[in-house]
This record gives sequence, structure tokens and C-alpha cells, in this order.
Amino acid sequence: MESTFDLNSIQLARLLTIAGSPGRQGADRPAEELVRELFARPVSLDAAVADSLPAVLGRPCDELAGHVGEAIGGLLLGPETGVEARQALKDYGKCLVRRARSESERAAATVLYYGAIAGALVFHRRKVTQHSYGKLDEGLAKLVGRPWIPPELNDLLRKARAVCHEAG
Amino acid sequence: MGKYDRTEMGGRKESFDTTHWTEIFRAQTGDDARRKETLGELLGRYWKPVYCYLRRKGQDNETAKDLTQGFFQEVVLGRELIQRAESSKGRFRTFLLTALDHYVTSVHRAESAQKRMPASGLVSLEGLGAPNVPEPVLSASPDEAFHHAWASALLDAVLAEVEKECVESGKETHWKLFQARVVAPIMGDVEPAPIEDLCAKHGISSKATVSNMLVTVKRRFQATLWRHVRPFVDSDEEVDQEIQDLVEILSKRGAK
Repeated sequence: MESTFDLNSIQLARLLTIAGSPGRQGADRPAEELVRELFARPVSLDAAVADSLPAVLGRPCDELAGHVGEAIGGLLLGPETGVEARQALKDYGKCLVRRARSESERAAATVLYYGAIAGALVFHRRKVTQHSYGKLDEGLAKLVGRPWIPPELNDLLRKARAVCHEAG
Repeated sequence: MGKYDRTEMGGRKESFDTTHWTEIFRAQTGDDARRKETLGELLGRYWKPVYCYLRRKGQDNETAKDLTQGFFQEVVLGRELIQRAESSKGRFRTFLLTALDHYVTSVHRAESAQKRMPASGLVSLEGLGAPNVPEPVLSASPDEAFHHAWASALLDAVLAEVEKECVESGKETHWKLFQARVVAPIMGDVEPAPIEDLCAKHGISSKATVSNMLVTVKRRFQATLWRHVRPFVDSDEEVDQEIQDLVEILSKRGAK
């Protein structure tokens, strides 16, 4: 590895921001940006990603193995995604909620959690959580209509509420 | 071996995440062997920023080398600096620069600086070699030269550690991809290699896999950078700000 000593200042600055601009890497970023990034993130079984995706690399690994490289958002919204994969995504969302360092991160992770549950309800008529339909509807109601949630997901959450009402 | 390693004083082969005021304090209270070891580590890690600063202050090569060693030996390991640092609660980088300025001011002539050196110095100057000061530093102000060399030393250490970690954990291909796609284009001012080419070269079947591998190394880089900066600030919250400060200083310099 060559030394960076003879690089110009702009090159050094670019190297320092390889992994993103400091100060915008985490907790203080708006929920909308975090949701967008989370939804665009591809499913990875790369062991080294275990640091950040423990739930995916734990038990749910098998369930998501057929979706490596696919974006998480596409899996949530796609009707063909299986119940097991949605369960895995829900677990991943739950894990991210626990590890959230800010309200924005918690909000983005919560969207993933409820989005996965909503997909199972709407596309498979399956409840992949122990919450009652009533409790589930309460949780979904807190998210529906939030401006930082993508419109397609807002639609899915609304439909999931309707399923909860029918079942409850 | 990198082209500037011939100075034999670069610190990139060693981690400097343990160097902190507490380490220096331990050296002060330790025996000569401990002091010598710590001084050697400090010089190895920070000599370039100090040396570059002194060169841009107008000192010639030999005088800058002597002053660099004298600064670390007399000032950094001196009790007074530690006491002032503990009360200042400032950033290590800016504090070091201020202390260096005071030191240079106190040494009026190069001859007097040499007289201040112990006859058998704690660390030999032989290892300093003949540093090559690159153009970006030659045309910079003393402060800019210091920050340039500081950022460079930081990045050299971080990149070396990430590479080592990747290799040792069986992820040499991860590192090669990161090097080819991210680091080399920045260092060489060239376009990144197409992902398709990297797939073919390393026998990887999908572009998504390459993307995931790159993300993995970027995260390691981010975590390693954080760990290396942390000892120089007072709290976790200040790490991002310290990096941002360096980026802004470098960007301003680059915009000139």
C-alpha cells in the first residue's frame, strides 16, 4: 500500500470520507433518508456483514438465501416474497430497533418491522407476530400517513390495518 | 513498501490507537526504557506533521529533524505539557500544534536547539533518514503542512490496519476489490474499475456480491478510522467533528 503522503489535499479529504461524510453517518440523519437507505440495502449473506446484520445472518439466513442481492424494500413490497422471508425481515427490523441510537434510526427500523408484518398480512393472510390484531393495528396506526414513509409502503400499511380490522 | 517508507520513521505499520495522554503520562513516570519506548512510538506516529510544519516554518532538513526530536523529547514527554493538556481539554491535534509553536519560538537558533539535545539522545536521529516533502506540502503554509501530514499519517495507519484485518480474516479479495474500486481511483485520480471487470478478475459471479464486499470493507474502514481518531478527542461525540474538521481544512486548502 502506497503512502498517502504525496496526495493533494482534496484526495486526502476524499479518502477521509470514503465511508460517508462524517456527522451524517448515523444517528442524526433524518428518518426519511435512513428509510430510503435501508430499503435500498441489498440482502447480504456475506459473513463480514454480520457486524451490522446479525439477525439476517442468524436463523433467518436460510429464509433469505434465495434473495441475496435483492433490495430490502423490493422484498417488503413484492407480493411474491415468502412468509419466511418476511419473518426474517421482521426479525431484522426488531434487531435494528434494539440497536437504534436515535429516534430517526428507531423510526426507520420500526418501519421495516411493521412493513414485514404488513406484507405477511396483506399478501399471505398470515400474522407473523404474537401481537394481537388489536395491538398490531395500534402499531400500524402510528405509522400510517407519516410523510417520511414511502407512499407504496404507506399503502401496504393501510391495507394491513384493514386486514387487522377484519380479523379482529 | 511505500515510497515514503524509506524515511523509516513512518508510523503506518503500527497501530496508534493506544497512544493517548495516559500513555504519555505512564512514560513520564516510568524508567528510561519505558520513556525510550514511548518516545520512539510518538516519533514514529507524529514526526511527519511536526517535521513538515517546521520545514514550512523555514527550517532546513537537519534543523527540522533535530527540533522534531527535541520537541517530543523535551516537550511532549515533559510534565508541563501534560498538565496543560489535562486542563485544556482540547483536541490533541491542535494542542500539539500550539505546543510546537511555543517550542519553536523558544528556540531562537538551530544551533541552540542542537545544544539542547542530550549527547546520547533517547532515540537516535539516524532513523529519520532524508524525508521527501511532497509538492502539496512544499506549497502549503506551516499549519496546512501540519494538517496535511497529520491526515496522511492517520489515513496510512487506518488503511494499513484495514488491509491487515482483511488479509488475516481471509478476506484478501474484499481488500483487493476495495483497493481497486475505491482507494486506487482516489489516489490515482482515475475512474474506478468497472464492477464487471472486477467480477471477472476475481471469479465472482454477481455484481451484488461485489457491492456487498465493498460495503463490508467500507464499514471496517469507518470503524477503524473512528477508533484511530477517538484517542485524540475528549468524547465519542467529538470523533465525527474531528474528522469533519480535518476534511474542511483539507478542502479549503484544495480549493485554493
